Amino acid sequence: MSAGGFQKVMAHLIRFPEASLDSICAQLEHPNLTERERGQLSKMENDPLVRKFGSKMRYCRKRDALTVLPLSKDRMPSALIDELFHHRFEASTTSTDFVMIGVHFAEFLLSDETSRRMISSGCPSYVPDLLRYELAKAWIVRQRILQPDPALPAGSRLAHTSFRIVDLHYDIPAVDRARNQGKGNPMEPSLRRMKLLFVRTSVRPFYRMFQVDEGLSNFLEAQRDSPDTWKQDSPSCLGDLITLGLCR
Amino acid sequence: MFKNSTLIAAPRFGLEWAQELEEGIVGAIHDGRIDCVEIIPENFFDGRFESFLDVLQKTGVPVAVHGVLLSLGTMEPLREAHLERVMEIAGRVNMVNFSEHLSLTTVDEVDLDALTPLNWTEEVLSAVTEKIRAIQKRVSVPFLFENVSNRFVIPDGDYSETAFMNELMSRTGCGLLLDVTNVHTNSVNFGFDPFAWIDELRLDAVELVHLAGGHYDPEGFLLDSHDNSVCDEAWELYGHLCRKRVPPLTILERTGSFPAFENLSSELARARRESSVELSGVVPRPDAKNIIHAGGVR
Repeated sequence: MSAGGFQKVMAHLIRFPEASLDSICAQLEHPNLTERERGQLSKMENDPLVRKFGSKMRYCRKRDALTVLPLSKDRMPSALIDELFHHRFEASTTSTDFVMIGVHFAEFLLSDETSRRMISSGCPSYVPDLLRYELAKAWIVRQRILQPDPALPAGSRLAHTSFRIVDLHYDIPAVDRARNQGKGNPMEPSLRRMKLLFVRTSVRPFYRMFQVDEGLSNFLEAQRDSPDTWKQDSPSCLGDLITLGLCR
Repeated sequence: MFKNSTLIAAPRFGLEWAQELEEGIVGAIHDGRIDCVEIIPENFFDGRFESFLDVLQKTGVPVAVHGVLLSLGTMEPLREAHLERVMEIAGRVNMVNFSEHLSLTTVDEVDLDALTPLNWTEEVLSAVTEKIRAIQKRVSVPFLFENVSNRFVIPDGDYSETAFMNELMSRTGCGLLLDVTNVHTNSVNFGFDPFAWIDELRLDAVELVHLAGGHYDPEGFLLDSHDNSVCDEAWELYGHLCRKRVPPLTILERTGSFPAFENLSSELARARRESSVELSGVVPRPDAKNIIHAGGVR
């Protein structure tokens, strides 16, 4: 049984507080509404409390999403952020996961072609790296709330239950350190290639970060893709993993 | 008559769990300052805060399980998978009743992100009735629904809010979680007499009461924000209720702007004083000397 037409339309009026009733009905392919329901919805369309409620919920979604993107947020024009969040990201989904919303927003910005073009033309060149870095951090800390990485097999020699590797062209960790030290205006990162490995831990800040080389990165990704070979020794890379405390 | 009313020895007073209050709650359970607890089961999904569930299990303190995401008021079928997850959590504690909000949170995969009012129509009433009956078949304790603070009101329904609630209780035999703060909040925002509103309800169905404090937004709209002390007007409503029926459970909700725990203990102490009314007209059942259905004969 699908939702009643009235409730469907009302939900869209709330979720998209700037949309008109007619545009919502058209988008929903004109759901079956009685005359009374149509009258109720018309009154609600013009009820400032209904619009205010929807706007407040929208504000909460954006606020929670940007909580995990402090570096990116400081270096993107606020009007662009609004456009990307409200008119690109929110148009792509009607479900809210308040725990993962920042992760989902960053993933969307990095994968949606139009969003990437808008960021490329409206922001400094290092902003995608900021998003990749903050996405990796947020993902590893929140990863479905303490669930192990489904890609890692049982009996894995990896000491940590999940990892994420991110490629950067700019020195984002230095920018993050400067921010954490409360150093005034946001600094620009220098050009510096690096691969960062994020692993989840059980103590604050609930992640550890390592700079790894191409060999170690390739080894970890290959092991993840080929769980049957995970228990085999690989002398050179395994030593590095043990040294870093990643492997038993 | 209501099905499976909360059988509990004398009225109990407690707090809704919040992580910031956990240490205080555990201490208060052990020294008797609180004798019941409310949990929102969704907060404990995916193994979160398991240690507190362990405490509840070991102490056996009565627990009101208060869900937030079943979206009771939709026309869709009951979210059975979600209910099962709730029951997994509930199974770990001494659940004495299970409640949900008479509202919407998700409609057809559109998340509304907050408790959203219902249109009080016969169509919605029938749908909610069926959902509650399905819940009652699944759950072994009394089921209650809660009145919410309305962020807006849907015009031109078939019922008033209280008539809708009474009819729902009549059709299902379920109980009522009466949030007196929500009654006060709605009376301020939408202009009605909260005492008369309460008097319209079937008060013998009230199994649990919520008390909380809110604040006004910049436009002067009162929010049920649970971040303030209970206001005098809400206390007056609580006293008004208790003179007619002392609820088996009273829960204080505080989920923000946390004060010292002693302040919350003081509020609970006030709730105990406000409810200390002569139980005139209450007839203890001859076969249950120590169990009183406070406020009336069933």
